[in-house]
Amino acid sequence: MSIFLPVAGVQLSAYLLLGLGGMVGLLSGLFGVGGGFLLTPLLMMIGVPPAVAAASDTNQIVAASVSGTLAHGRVGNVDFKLGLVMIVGGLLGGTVGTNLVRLLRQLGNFDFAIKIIYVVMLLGVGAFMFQESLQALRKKSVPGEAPEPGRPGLLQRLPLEVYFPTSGIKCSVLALLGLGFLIGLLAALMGVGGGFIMLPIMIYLLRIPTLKAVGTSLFTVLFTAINVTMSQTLINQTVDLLLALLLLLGSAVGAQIGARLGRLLKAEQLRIIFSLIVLGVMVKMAHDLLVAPASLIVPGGGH
Amino acid sequence: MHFKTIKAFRYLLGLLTVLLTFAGGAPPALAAGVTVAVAPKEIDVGLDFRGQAVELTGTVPEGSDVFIKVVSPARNVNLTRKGKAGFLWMNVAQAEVEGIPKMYQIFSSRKINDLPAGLRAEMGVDQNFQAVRDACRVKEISGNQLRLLAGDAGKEYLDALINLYQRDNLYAVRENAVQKSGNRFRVSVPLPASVAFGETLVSVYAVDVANGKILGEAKNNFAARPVGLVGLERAMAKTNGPLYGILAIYIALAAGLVIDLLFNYLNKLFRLFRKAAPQSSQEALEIH
Repeated sequence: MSIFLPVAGVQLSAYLLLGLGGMVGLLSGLFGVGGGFLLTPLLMMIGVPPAVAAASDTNQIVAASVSGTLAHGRVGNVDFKLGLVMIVGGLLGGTVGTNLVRLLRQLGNFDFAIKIIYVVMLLGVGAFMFQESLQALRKKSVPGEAPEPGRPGLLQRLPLEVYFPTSGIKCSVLALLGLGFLIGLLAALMGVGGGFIMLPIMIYLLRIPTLKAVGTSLFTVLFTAINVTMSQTLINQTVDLLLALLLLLGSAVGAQIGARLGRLLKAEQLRIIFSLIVLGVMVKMAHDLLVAPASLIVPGGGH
Repeated sequence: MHFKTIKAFRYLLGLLTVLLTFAGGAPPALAAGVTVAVAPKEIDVGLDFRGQAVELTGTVPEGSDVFIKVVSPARNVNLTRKGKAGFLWMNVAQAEVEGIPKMYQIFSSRKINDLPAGLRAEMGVDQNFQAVRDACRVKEISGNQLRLLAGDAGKEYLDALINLYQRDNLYAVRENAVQKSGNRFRVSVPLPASVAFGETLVSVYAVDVANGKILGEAKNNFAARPVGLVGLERAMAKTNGPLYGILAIYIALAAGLVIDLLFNYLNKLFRLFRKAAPQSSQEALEIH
């Protein structure tokens, strides 16, 4: 069934869009990431103009994260209290980050530096997670968690310590605000949602059980996605509601399946698949940077 | 389906006009002149739009050749250029191409290269879409510098954009596509699904190729307009950003909520179905 997309101005198969949404939603439900990193290039590949693709897929993330958060929340895998503290930090970080981007752009080749830092960061995080979860899988010992759960790290020793019963951790509110701020800042600088950075930080720095980290991460992604969708419609006027609707119906269903699938997997298995995805994204970005593009001039961009 | 009826009726009416022109012949006063009729005059782009053909029919002086261009309104398009920074490929410049039509199709009853160069330029009919290139302005922003690229300097951008449009069948040169019989001609203009909105101008030239002279010309137009849901959504996205954004977010929130309720309901049904297995309700305890 083909359908004409009003703002994108192209005609595409509705089933294809539902399917794409479903696939990305599955990743959201499984790993608590938004999935824009995957969906935007895929949409461009099937003919959606870049600006429309980027704007419409954030709208899809709103639906996927609501659906996924609720699915995780029903079985107690979302730490709303901890999530809210991180969101406050994230919004502050995002605002500072957006202004910082404007400032850095004026200084010259800012995108260049950012891309390299991002690739290195993904490589570091991905390789670390892969190695850690592989070791945990090999040990096959106690159905395990991230290394040494609950032991107080530096982050936990800051003042204003609060107990978060859902996650089962004690942590300083200041530290959480700081981490949220950092994630918001990085997300704004890198131009991506926070999921990729959020999950490793929750698992390894805050020592939250993997599945609860996924649920809580998804809860925070919801707020970022709402924020970005709103600013996209205001500034770019490029959200195609119909395109987004098809994608989000697919992804809301996918997120439900992902959340249920996540419960069937072991925490280490979840972590190792996530690390492979992070490494995959890293390889793709490195490839784009190193290999000559098929076409030097592409549509999109502008101000 | 009310729309479809109106659409079909309008199409029929257009076709009837064309047929009458054909059957009755052009009035004597215009016999030596050039005329062109367009059917349909209005193209409704709804959710089911898959592209459409527009029929051009008319008259030209006997023995002359026909050259037709079909041009949509000019607009601005943003492009990004990639280049090498050190050993890495990065976006090195942004450009805005100003005043480029989204559609530019050329039809003829004869090879375009048979025309003298001057005439090709005058009519805007050539293989290279030179008329488009000459009319465009390219603004390039690289780093903090803004450059206006005129003529060949902007060629790289225009080549890329025109290539893109050619791939989508928006730009095309179809030689010998115009069918002639006596002083009448007809040609079918295929509009792709990615049609250009707005009033598209049709220019018909009757040319005495041997002597390199334009014998006459006629103009007409047709318009593709978004209708129904397509029109509503386009109008709202362009004119009412905040409302549209809030609507988009509410729809996404509602969809997430409804799908979750649905899944939860199905889950419960499923459990009811196999209530013999008590462990299925222990889900919450399984997670660490």
